Amino acid sequence: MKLSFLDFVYTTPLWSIALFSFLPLLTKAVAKGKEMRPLWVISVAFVSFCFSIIALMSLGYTNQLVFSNLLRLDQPAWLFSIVLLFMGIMTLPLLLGKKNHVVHDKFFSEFVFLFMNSVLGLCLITWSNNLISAFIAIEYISLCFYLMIPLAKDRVSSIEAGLKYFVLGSVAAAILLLGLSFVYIAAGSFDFNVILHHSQVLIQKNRLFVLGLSFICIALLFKVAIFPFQFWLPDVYQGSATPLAAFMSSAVKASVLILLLKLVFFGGFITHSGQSLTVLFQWLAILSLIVGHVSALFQDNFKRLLIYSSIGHAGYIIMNLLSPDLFSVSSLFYYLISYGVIQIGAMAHIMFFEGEETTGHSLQSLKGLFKHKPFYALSLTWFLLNLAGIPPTAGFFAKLFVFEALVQKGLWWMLFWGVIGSAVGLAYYLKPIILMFTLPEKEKEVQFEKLPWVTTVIVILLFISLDLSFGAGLLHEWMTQLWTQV
Amino acid sequence: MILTSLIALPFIGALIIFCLSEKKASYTAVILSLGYFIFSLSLFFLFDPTNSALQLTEQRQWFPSLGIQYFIGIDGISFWLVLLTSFLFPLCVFYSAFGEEKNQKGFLACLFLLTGFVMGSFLALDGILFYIFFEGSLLPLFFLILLWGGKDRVYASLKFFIYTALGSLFMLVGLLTLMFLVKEQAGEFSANILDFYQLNIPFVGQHLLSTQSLLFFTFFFAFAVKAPLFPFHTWLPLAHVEAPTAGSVFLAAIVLKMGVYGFLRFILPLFPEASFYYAPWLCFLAVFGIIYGALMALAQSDFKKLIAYSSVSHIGYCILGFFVFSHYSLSGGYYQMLTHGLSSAGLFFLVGMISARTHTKQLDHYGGLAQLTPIYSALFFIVSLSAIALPLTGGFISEFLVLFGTFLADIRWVPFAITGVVLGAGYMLFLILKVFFGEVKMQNIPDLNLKEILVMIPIIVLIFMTGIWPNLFFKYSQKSLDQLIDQKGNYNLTVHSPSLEKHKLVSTQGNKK
Repeated sequence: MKLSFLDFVYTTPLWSIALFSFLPLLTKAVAKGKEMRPLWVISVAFVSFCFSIIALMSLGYTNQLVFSNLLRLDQPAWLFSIVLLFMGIMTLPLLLGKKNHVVHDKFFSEFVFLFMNSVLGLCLITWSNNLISAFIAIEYISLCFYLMIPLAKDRVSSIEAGLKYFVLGSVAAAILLLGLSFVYIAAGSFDFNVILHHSQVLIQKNRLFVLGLSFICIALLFKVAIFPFQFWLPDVYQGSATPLAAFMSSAVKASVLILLLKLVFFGGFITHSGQSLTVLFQWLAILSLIVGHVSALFQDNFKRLLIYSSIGHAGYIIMNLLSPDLFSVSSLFYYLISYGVIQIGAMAHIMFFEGEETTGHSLQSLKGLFKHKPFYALSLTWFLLNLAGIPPTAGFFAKLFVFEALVQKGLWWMLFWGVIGSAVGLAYYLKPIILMFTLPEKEKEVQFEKLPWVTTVIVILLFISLDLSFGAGLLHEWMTQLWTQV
Repeated sequence: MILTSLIALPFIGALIIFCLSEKKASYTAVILSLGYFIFSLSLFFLFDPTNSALQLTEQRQWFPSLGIQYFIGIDGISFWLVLLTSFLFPLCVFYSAFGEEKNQKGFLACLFLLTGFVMGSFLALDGILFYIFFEGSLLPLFFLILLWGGKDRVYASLKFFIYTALGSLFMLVGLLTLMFLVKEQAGEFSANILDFYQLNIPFVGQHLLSTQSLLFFTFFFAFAVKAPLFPFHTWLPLAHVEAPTAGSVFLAAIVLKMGVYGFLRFILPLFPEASFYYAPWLCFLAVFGIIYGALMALAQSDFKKLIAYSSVSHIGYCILGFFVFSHYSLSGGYYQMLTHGLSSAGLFFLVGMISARTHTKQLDHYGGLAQLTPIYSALFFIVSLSAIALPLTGGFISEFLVLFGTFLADIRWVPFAITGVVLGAGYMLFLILKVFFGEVKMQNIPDLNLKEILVMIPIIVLIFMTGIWPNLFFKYSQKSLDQLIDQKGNYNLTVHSPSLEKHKLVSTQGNKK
């Protein structure tokens, strides 16, 4: 492997995060284990993320291969690195939101170190152009999350969540590795370009190759929590600290889907393998939509409701992936971006109510919120309407693009289930809204903490989601052009 | 710019009101809404009644990749609906601005938002833009019912929202399909209604599964739920009973008209063959709704529910008028939208006024009101006469035209439709008998105050104006209605697209005449 100076120039956004992330750890070591003030630690991460975004902006999407074709800075990688970094920036103030709650005070530097590295790993997933680098990147983020989830102060639920994620994640990693080796045996290379180039022949001739790709799919679908690999998601996300759950449910989904798009769907794996696999994926999309939405219908815990609904949204996202063309890929990007913004915004509201618990709160505690805190009631309503896809919100346009893509492909029966899913979604997204606007029978004090940092995040995300809804057309157009330019 | 400001001003008004203090908000809202009405009157000068085409259009690209535009305009069909909205809006605001409702500011802001959305959906000429306004109007109404509604408001608002939203989701699918059809036939995506009109939508073999009939049903569900047509009406009485007075007025007088308007704007011109083919079924539903609504109204013991069911009955005339395909009945159906808007608004105001005093809507609790509240009783008689469709009131003109047109085009429906008129007189007169005459069951009920009389006077003036001088109203809308259906009863639904003359359908009865 030959290294050139240019490789390092192009990967500046990535290695700079790694360098920055050591800063809090080193200072802690120098200060003999004394914890820095959380605000300083967070600002280090903030500066680092901002630096990476600026670096990415100035680099542009060059389609440059770096480190002997291991990584590639193409359009989705470029766009989603920025988006993921932005999601990271939005999560940082949430970590500050409740001191001594999200993470044990003693380990704050370590936590932020892991968080920065997980963002780096997520970007790396979107950059990867090789099965090995993809595998390493996925393991990289998994390691960070295995550690971060139980670090959320010593509580039983978070440790349970961490352990569950670790065990199941390891199984998924093993399946991924197995699939990877099968594909290597069949194709003789780890390089995406080589595999994709031969995929049409290999899929028809080589059973091992199909098996390998299926294993890879299963592992990736596990990470995105598509039915039937969604069982771990509610427990794990509910057990982890709320900011972390918000970040994971939006960012991990986005970056793994980009990888899935690059590898499996652009490779024509689905289309080349004939009708049966296409139908299988269609059913997976519909089933996760139904399972997610219907189980959300019966949740009394607000956090769990949002988590189950994320399974349903993953169904919509997968719908976009079938036989991707320019339109549906841009729609997918729009969906991922808007969903990320909305989900973080909605999940951030949980932090006001949960008190000392991390496992979320009952829907009933939202009762009468409008009377006590009209601003938060209205902002949460806005985010929930976004999730439900009521016009004129960004969530509506995301759904509009998905439906239009389905119309273009003539997948009427999927469209039907999509509509039914939206209607079911309405039923449970309206439940918390109705509770917020009804008055409690007894005048009791609503449990509500003042968290200025969280409020800041909510206000910013509110403005961004407004922009996303009114600029939906422009953004979609711009993302379509992104593909045609290079 | 005038149409854009008609849509934008209510939203800006809502923002202003939300930022003001409780006390100031009431006065500002009244002034703003009144100013808005006067501003909307300028349409009389700008609108050219001799021109049947869409006027005052404004067009701007919005989603270039999907051909979604910001495209608004007005024609004779939407003209009176826009004015009806801007006319009832200050009345609703004035009525509720100085009431005792808690959180006045939010209530008024919701009314402003609702007006903006409704106005947008009447003016939008782009399918997706229409959908956004159509669906968006659910939100303020949902909150009006949820926050200021009666005892069972949670269930009512939820049912209202989910029922209507599910209907319009199917319409969204229909719209997206139409956009795709435009791409297939014209080469580029477009959600422009005028491009939709140019489409050649296959209706092969009058098949239930042909493209046109499937598309027809997607739109039909959305509008039939909203209108509401007979089997899809169950959300309406519930929503009406729980809604606050101004919400009920807006719901009955304007929001229902959005559904009926959808039939005129989308279903008739877009799916001529399917509408013609399914017309008997629609007429059946309409007539069934007329009788069913009237019978249900007869059986009600709740003041508001009675009037809600009478709405179901009256909306049936609109749909019947549209789908018997005669020139007269179409005009009558259109006119019914206006007159029902006025009479139902008046009735709901009056019910709100009396139940604010007595705190009950049960008819059994009322009796002998004519002795206690003479002014109230007089006003109620006048408005209910319009609902009964007595000559000199607007209701007479519209129902007469519908029945006359039906008589000419398809005589089978007439006996059933007439039953509705008789039953209508029945339930209104029984109501009057029960509430205003007989034994006096209540004491110390003050008569209407100046504010309430001021609210009612414009409505009553218009009820008589629509009855005595209908030509004033038809002058503005006739040209556009003639586009849908010409004088001889020829069903001429494709005039927007001369290239599609072959679709011109002939109503058999009309031609014989």
